[in-house]
Amino acid sequence: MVDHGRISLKGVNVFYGKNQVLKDISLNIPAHSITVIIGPSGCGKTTLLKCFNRLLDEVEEARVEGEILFDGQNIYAPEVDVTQVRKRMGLLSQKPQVLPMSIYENVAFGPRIHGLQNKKKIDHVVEKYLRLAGLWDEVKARLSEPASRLSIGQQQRLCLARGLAVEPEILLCDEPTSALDPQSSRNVEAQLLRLKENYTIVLVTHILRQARRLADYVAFLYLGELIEFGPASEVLTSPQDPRTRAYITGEIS
Amino acid sequence: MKKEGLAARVSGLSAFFPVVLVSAIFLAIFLKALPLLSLKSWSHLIFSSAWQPQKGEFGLWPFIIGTLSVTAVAFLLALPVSLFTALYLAEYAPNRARKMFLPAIDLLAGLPSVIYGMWGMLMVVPLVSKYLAPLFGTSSSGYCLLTAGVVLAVMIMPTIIHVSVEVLGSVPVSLKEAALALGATRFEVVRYVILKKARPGLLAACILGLARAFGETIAVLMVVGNVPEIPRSLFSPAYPIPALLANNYGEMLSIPGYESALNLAALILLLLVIIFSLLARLYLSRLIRRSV
Ligand SMILES: Nc1ncnc2c1ncn2[C@@H]1O[C@H](COP(=O)(O)OP(=O)(O)O)[C@@H](O)[C@H]1O
Ligand SMILES: [Mg+2]
Repeated sequence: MVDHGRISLKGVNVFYGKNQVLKDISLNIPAHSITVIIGPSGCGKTTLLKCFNRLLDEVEEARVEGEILFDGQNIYAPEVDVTQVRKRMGLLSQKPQVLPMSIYENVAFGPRIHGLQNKKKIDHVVEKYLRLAGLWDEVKARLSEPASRLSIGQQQRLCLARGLAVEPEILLCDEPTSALDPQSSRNVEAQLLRLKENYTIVLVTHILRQARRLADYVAFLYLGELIEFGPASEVLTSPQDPRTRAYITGEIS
Repeated sequence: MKKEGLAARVSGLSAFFPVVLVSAIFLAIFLKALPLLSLKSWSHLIFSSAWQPQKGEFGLWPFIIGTLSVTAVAFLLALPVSLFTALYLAEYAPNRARKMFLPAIDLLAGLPSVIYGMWGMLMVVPLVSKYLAPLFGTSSSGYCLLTAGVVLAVMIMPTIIHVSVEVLGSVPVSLKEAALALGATRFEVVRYVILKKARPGLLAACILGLARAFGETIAVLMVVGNVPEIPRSLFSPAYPIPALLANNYGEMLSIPGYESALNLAALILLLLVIIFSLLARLYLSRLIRRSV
């Protein structure tokens, strides 16, 4: 049987100390589509994303229970190499976090630490992914400038290019447009729509209109529980659960 | 309205006060040093190694070298230990260890320096004279450059460590996460991202430590040997300027030119510190400018 979801969660619980913030989450995330996670602030969206690429490992007081299968393999199994798991998933965070180095080096960083040394090949990779993120034309003349000189919107696309350069299969995006102006937000959204053909995208947002524009599937998270999951057209227009309905009509936020 | 004007004037004056004070100190010292400067040239006084006050020889070179070398030894010893400790505490140690360690470090930073001097005499001096010097094939009383460097290093480490831990802690977690998410190892994140981001702050931490090392007096003079010669090795005694001043100022002032010579030494110490901190500041601001 083909495992339809690229990522499946089975009974995932997450605790910060004694405080349980994700409760028995089970979910299949379909490949080559955009799955949008919505829910009020503090409901555990960021935490859920951090389970996927095991960034929660870095949070001392966090504890994860349950299984997260990635192509059928449990990424929390003891023999799994964390860096390999992370390499297969790109992350786009709420505020763009450019590395303290040049525009070029930001994109080259991932390929370099994973062993790419040939200068020509690195040049090629840098150009390819800056193009893919829709940034190449704006920065090709200033590749050696510090990345921090770019505008915030450009920085976010640089982060996208940097993430793509390690050739992940999945993109995890945590409110990637919340720090951007409307124009830059549209630009990032356009890139994501273009990328979903080749990548599985999980996007956290609290902007319902953004969910409508981008989502193929929607998961509604509330107080650490997965309330509803399904195709965007169903969840966003005719939600089954009263809590989802309340959220979508703006009664809870 | 009127009150505010007065308050502004008072606080304006008080901001001015340190500048006035430093200038006054500078001027007083300079005036006291002047008589000697009218007898002998600057360059002779600075570069001559002959220190024989009775014969009117006031070569300050051994003291200048003494100051620079004690500070340098202390700094070279303190720097790697402090930075590795700070890195460990900030990036690897569990939160609980950090919370216990930092207050202990602050306690160390607050100990009176005479305590460090006593520790040096009781433990470092015998260690150097009985074990380390023979190990390197020489003999030493233990009151030497190395001992002073070790004691001084231990004194400045708490400052460097504490400031460095805070600097490292100020690197945004989400930046570390961004690098980790690319599949970088902890070490790669520290090496290529955190250290780079934190570099100006770490440099500032070192400058703070160094500033303390330059002027530290009591602990150093208790273990450095106080022989006015240019130290030939780490196991030779030295005589830094602060120790010279603390040992002699106010005594033997009947010798002609002596008080003047000590004031000149003080002036040189002040200039060394000022030149050094200006250079450091210049470098720091360049570093910050380049990183934005
Ligand atoms: N490092 C942490 N330690 C303790 N509690 C945390 C930590 N990070 C997040 N939390 C808590 O977990 C809950 C979920 O947080 P988060 O996943 O960031 O929510 P969201 O992204 O949906 O706003 C919140 O109540 C938050 O306070
Ligand atoms: Mg969040």
